[in-house]
Amino acid sequence: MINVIGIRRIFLLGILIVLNASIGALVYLYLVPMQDDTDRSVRRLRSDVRNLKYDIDQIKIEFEQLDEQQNRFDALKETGFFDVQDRSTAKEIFNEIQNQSQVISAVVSVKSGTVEENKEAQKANHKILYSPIEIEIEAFDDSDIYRYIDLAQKNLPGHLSVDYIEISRTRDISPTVLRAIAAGASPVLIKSLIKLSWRTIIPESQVITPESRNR
Amino acid sequence: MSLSFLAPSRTVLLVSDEALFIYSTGAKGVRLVDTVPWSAENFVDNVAQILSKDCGGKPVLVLNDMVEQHYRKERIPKVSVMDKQNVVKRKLMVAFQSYPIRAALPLKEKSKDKKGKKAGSSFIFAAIPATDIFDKIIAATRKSLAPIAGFCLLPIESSDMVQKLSEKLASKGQKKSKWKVFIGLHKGGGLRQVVTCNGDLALTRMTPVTENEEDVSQWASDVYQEFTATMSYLSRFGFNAAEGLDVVFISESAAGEKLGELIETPCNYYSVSSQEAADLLKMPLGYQEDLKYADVLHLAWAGRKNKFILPMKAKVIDKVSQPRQVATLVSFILVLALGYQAYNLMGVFESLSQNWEEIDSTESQKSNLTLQYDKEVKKKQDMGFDIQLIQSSLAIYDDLNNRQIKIDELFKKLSAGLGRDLRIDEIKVKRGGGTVSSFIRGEKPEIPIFILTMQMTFPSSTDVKKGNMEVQKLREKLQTLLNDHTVMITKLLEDYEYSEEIVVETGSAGVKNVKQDYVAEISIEGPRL
Repeated sequence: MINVIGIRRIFLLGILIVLNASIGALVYLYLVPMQDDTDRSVRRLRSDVRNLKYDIDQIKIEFEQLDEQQNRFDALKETGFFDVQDRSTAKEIFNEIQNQSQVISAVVSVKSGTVEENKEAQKANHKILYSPIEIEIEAFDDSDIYRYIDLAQKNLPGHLSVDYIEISRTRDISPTVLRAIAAGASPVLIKSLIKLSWRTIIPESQVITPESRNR
Repeated sequence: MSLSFLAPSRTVLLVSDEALFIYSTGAKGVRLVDTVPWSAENFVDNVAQILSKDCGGKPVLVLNDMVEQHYRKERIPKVSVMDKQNVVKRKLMVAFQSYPIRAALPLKEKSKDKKGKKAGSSFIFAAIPATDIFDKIIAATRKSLAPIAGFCLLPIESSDMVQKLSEKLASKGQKKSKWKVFIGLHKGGGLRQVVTCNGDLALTRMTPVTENEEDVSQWASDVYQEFTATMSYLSRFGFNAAEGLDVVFISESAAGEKLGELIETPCNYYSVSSQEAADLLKMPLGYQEDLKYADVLHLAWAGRKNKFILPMKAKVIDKVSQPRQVATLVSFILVLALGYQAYNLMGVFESLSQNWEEIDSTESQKSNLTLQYDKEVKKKQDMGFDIQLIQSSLAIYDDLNNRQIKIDELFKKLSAGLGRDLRIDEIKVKRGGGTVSSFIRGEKPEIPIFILTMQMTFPSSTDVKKGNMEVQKLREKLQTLLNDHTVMITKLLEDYEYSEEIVVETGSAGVKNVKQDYVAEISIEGPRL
């Protein structure tokens, strides 16, 4: 075969094969993986830069909104949204509300508070404190009941939401009732059952655990 | 046929009876490199050296111009395409059993049976004997390591040249001749005549003619005698003067004119020098000392061909040429692959370089942005309050408010709907599916936020139909006021539809019955006001 093809041509073929193999190996075993790595690096860096830009923009937006948010936050603080729902304060407030609302009677039952988990509160290392409230009201006029609810929402520290309200007329306006009114009495004409949810936000450190109770 | 500047550069070995003429052909024309007599000492070594050194190892085309060339016209019966090749091969072997170098050329003409239908194909079978000369050529070529481009017969490879040259020489509007005779003197002293019929080789003759430069008339007379002999052969091949005959004679003008005067057969006679013929064929001939010789014309023509008309087949040729062709092909593929690899390498390098540049610039951008971000965070921390607490507490408060049942607004709407005449005896409002606790679990607000039911009492003396109508009107009014809520009558004063249940008391039972007040009920549910 060497005699037919010639040593020079075989040598040339050998060089061509070696060159092809070397360049092929260089490209596919070394450079292409390196290119893949650099592609990944470029993508990662681009993503990092994008995220950083977004974070910086967010901080700038936060700065712009901060003034307004700060005022609202101060107002919330003022209304006791960060208080621990002190029961003696609540008692005083409900007594005051009864006087102001002019309802005939109100039986307020503030149940024991429980801690609720919330993702947003979690971010600021806080918990939501929740206490159910049940109120039985007797009144002469239904507007007294609305006033009572309104005053409770305004005066009780934190957030108060109405879960259930039932208002019913207990008596018709009969001559007897009219005579009682004329005599200056306020007969019970309306009865109401109200269920409320009282919520405030407290730091995790202020959460009462069995251990802290024993101390 | 390739363009002049793209013409392949080859070494053409013109095999004559006297000697081996070694020519170099290419874009510049034809050059006689050397002439080696067959009886020369160290023939193989000398020729091999000339081929590898003087001719630069270019591909070798062996062009047989010897007297001993055998041709036979054969008809192959009509067989399937698959079998045709085998039939031709077998027939060729039978026809030239003792000649190992042979090949078959299909002719344009088709043989027909008595009824005039196609009966098969016609072939020219060609063969040359395996002589000592042939062995010497193969040995020299093998030793030179030059690739073999082909082993062909001069008359067959020149048949298309004869056709084309005749066409070029014919004047415009002239009727095309069926028969063409090409006459040319070769340097070895032989007179080569190539006759074609319809472009196919019909006859070829190589006869020794003594050239007499002093007596042109005698020389023309000798050529004329050979032409006459050729024409007598042609009559056996079915020549008919009416079908047209072109005669092309390569010579000096004087001899050409003399021959023209001698020819009596009706024909179109042309006498041109080899240079004039080459110019007509648009191929370079290069410098030639004597333009009366036609062999350079044949060499220039065959040397430029990319595809030969009838490459001769022989195992000995294949043994030498095939490995070299394969090696050349492999070399070519490897060079192409190398080119591709280099291109690919450049592409990858370019891409890598772009990536590195981008990595540098993006890293620099990232470090600048990180500095800016750290600065902003520090600024935020330096402000002295907990931004996260502010944002989270406001988000919680807003969400709680979004789920709040707005009792005051709801009752205002009810009051507007009732007007002056109607009154409610009992009202109940409770949360719908979306409780405040669901928000605590991070769920979206659900609809309805609230469900309200209110009852109205009508005296027992009320006209039921009128009362029901009033309830209907109230529902419609409330629906208008609370358009995105569902307002439904859950109980009418008294309903007589089939879905209701009734008790009818008559007689003494009816007397005892004390009439009760009517009660109607409306339910409202929907989103936050």
